[in-house]
Amino acid sequence: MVRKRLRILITLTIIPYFVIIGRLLDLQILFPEKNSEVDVFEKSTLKALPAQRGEIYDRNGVLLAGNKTEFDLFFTLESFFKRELYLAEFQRVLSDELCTEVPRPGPLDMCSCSTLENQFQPIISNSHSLRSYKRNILDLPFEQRRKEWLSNIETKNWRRLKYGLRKSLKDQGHEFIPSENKEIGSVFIDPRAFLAPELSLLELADMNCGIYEEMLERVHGASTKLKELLQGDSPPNRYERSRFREIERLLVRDITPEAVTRVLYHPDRFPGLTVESRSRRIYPHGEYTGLITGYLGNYLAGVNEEELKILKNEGRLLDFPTKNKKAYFDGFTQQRQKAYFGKDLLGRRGLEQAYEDELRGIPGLRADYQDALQRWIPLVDQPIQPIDGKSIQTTLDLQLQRKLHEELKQQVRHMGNGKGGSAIIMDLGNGPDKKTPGGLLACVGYPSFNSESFSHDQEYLLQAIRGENPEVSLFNRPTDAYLNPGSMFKLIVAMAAMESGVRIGGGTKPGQAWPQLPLQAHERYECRYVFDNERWEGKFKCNSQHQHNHSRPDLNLVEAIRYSCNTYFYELGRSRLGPSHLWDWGRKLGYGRPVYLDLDTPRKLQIERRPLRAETSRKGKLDRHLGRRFPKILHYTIGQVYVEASPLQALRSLAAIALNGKVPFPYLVEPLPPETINTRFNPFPPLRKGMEAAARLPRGTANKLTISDYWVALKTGTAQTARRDAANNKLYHSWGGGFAPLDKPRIAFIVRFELTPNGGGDATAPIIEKILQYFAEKDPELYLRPGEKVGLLIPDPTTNSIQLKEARL
Amino acid sequence: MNRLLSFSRVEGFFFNFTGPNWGIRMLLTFSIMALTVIGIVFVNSTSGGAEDQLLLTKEAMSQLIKAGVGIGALVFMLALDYQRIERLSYFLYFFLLAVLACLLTLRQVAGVNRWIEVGFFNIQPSELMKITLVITLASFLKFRHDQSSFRGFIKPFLWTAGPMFLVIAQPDLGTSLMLPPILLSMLIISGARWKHLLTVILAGACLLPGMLLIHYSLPEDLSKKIVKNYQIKRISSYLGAADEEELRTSAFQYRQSKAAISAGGLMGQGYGQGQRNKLNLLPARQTDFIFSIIAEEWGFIGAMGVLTLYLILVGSCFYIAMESREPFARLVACGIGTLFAAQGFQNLGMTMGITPITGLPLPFVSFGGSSLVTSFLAAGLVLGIAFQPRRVFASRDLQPRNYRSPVALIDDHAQGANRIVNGP
Repeated sequence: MVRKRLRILITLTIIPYFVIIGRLLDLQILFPEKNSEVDVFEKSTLKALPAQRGEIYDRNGVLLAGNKTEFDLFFTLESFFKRELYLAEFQRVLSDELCTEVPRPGPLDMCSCSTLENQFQPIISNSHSLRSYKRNILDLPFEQRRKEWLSNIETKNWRRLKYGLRKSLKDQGHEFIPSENKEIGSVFIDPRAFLAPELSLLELADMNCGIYEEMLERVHGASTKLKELLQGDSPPNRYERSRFREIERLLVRDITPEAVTRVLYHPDRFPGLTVESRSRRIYPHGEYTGLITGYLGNYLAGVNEEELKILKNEGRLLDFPTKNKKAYFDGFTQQRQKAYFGKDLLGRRGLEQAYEDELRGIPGLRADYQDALQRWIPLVDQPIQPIDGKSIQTTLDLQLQRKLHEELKQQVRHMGNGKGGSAIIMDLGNGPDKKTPGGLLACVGYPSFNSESFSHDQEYLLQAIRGENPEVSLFNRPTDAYLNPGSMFKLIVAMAAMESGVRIGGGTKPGQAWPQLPLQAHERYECRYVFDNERWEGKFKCNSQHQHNHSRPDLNLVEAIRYSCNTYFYELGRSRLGPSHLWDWGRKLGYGRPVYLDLDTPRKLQIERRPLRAETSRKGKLDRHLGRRFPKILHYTIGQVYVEASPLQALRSLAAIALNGKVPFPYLVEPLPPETINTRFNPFPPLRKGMEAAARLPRGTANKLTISDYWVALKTGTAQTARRDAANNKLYHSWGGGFAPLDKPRIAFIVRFELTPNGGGDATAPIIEKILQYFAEKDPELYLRPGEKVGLLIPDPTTNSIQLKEARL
Repeated sequence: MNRLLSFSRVEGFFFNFTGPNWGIRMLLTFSIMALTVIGIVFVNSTSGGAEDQLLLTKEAMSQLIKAGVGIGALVFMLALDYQRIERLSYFLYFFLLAVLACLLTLRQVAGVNRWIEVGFFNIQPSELMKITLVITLASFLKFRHDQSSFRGFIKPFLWTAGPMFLVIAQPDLGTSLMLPPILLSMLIISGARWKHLLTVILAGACLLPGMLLIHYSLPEDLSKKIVKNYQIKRISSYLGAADEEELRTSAFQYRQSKAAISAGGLMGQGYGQGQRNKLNLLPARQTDFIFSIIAEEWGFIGAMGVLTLYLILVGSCFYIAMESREPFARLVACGIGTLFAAQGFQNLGMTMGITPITGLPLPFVSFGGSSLVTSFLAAGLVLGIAFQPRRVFASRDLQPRNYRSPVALIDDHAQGANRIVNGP
């Protein structure tokens, strides 16, 4: 019977093994793919490896935007602040006489060293007291500085301590010293060892790495938080406690290299501190180059919805997947070319935005997994390494940029010269380096912003956005501030008239086509100060009565430009030009068209910018409405209405005049070949002559004493506004621009002040002088010709030879 | 009377080829040794030895030393007259019961776990308790015939309940779950009635839903005292209803283990090449989940090899039980066979998701001295029984303990004249 039962038992025992064999077959042979979803990558965490961003230099190789490696100091409670652990265990054993086994520290034991801590509290609370305590006590030899902590401890209890714990306590300088009869003894601590964390902090503070009290607050704060958690309703278990103690916490940011060396090479003095490096974007020249370089911002915190939409549409906005991580990792090499991750910093404004793709580099990817011990370990031996961004060199001359910025600031802030100012200097490519014309040597706007602070100082950013700081503005005045150009527009009017204008005084009948007869530069017109008094009843006057009307009222084009005679241009507008001509020629010279500067977002994102105002009401409509009856056409001819320009647009027209019809594209990094205007009669020499006369001849609008010695051509403009300042002075937008030297112009420049009480020449002359001064210092022969005579010879447009023509209208 | 310790017995065990059960003894010894070697090899693999081209890692070396100690224990058991152990059984039982109780009380005072630290060595009394229970039950049951009555049937349960309660309270649910199968198998052999056995098995099967019922029906304070939260979590994750936290912890262990086994395929990924081994993705892969790594690296073939070795081990124990004609020896061999079978099944099943996760090591293979030495002790006991099936029993021994026939009394006075030694 027993054998029978044994057989049954054997069967009962063996059957489960067949179940196991079946299951093994199922898992390994039949359907192994059933478990394929449990991939090693499943628990892994993908982490982007950011690429080093490219740097930005000026034309001389001076750094405008770069990266700085900074070092932060981190601590963990586990390694840096471990006294409470061993003291807790120690105290517990000694206080519990019955206990023979050393328990692990329970939740409440963590606080048991607080009694000792409280004794030291007044000493460690600030750096002064700790320093004096260190001088008086801690620097003494060990026998003198040690301090009794617990007395009357039975020796047998001390021996109950685990050997390892006893040894570790002794290593820390804490000792048990038995009394004479050896039955009881006292526990001494070494205050130097006890206060080791605080002493480390003090040493750091002495190296100018953070403030002692702040660092102490961070360390003690973390420790206190743990104690609070332990006393709370649901105290963390042992595992959670150790996790809490192992969290890396920031102790101090951006420590000095000296401190890095000391911390790394003296781990005994700084136990448990780790140094981590981090790359930070820096802009060494702050607000001087703020508008040029732009800044870095997180697009999630940013405001540019447009950009976000484009990134999304292009599929460039990547997120880490929750599934199929392996496939994602493998495919990342293809995807990463234009990839952005959620926390990536994105160039905001300026070159940082325009050259985002080149500068940012290509991110890499790393996969970490958490193993059974909850440690993070790289999953693949070779992560996808990031490719650093390319550095770019700009055409900017930092020295000039700084100088101009300081001058503008001086004028606006201290001389009361307007609300804001801008100045641009363009290289016309005639220099020895034969560069493509259009490179900007300086591009200054005031107020501007400090990129450094923008990228890192949240408060500064908010101030700027709320407009609380008058010295900070995100508005890029040189490229984006569109204002009426005033008399600057007369150059365009003159050109339009010379190319396609109607003869002055030629009668036209309704329905009859206008004879396309161009204006001759030598044609003369008599300025009577008040334009067409019968019709407009003295509404339209010449602005320069004191300069030319009395002495010599009739003038040719050159003189008209020299004096900036309004009536001359009113007449052109009334009798020769329709708005459509002005519109056409304005566009040809760069007014009302997006300026393809690298800085501009349109270049990269192809968003249409604001066109010429006149364009908004269409060409035909404009002609119909303005006609020749409507008085505003007269305002149009002197640039007071219907036309707005940014300094950059106006500068293009000046450069085109200087370069005989080659309209350069302004650039900072990548040159574009200039476009050429086809002209029938070469209208540029008379215009240049007029500008020269304005600059160098007496009573020229731009003729100031300091400027007249330079070999320069200038044109000023004063756009009227309806506003007045506190002293009831009229406020203008004052323009001044030109090129130098005269024979083969190398630079073109423009200066503009907004809402200044001074007119064009007066307002801009100080800056223009500084610009010319800067170049004259380098090359005096080229720019400084005080003795050179200026003749009012009218160049013949047909032969381009200079002939004196005294023809009268 | 045989001597308590006789090392000539050990010599005879190996070299007396004509001795009883030589073949089965050698088979059993082979399976034990093979499993131990596999264990050392895979402890080496899981501690990175295969990758670092080390001959033996620190852990593997430690396991080797523990195996040496285990072999020493086995030799000691061979040298020991097992009948003497029978006499010691009650003493051992109560001694260990006292130790367990001490551990329990000390835990409340000092937070001591299931381990006793003896110098550099840790002893787990509950492991020893398993063998002791086998011996004690065998000693108690060997001539008992009252199992057919329900009262008699209940007594061995009381013997088991004490250690079981103390081990559960440690808390070590895994080890305590090994005790009922031992009891049941020994009851089957000793002649308990099937209907009683079935009733008990059914009642045991109701335990699992019962725990859930207690957890969900009683108020929290009360249910916590009876059923621990982690036990409920394990049960629920076993039943496929894991919550989120569980998915990260123990269900993660399940899934990783199953994935490791699946990844092995027919031939395995190669020794030391298992991904979950190399990347340390499987928690407790040296101890409880070592079989997953074997299956991952040696594939189906290797896993079947290990399974076959276990079948040989368990089968040999039962064969020895069948060959033995003495009730005590038969019961002990059966109990130990069941112990190995149950522990093996529970561990292997746990790695494949058949049984819930309990912290039970795989005998002879898993890293850890206590389990290894205990297994060797148990195996030594069975081998000793196989080597000493020599009793023709005194008539007294053939009677139940509460029955003293006059003949037996006379026999006793005959000073063992009737004893015939069958063995060498």
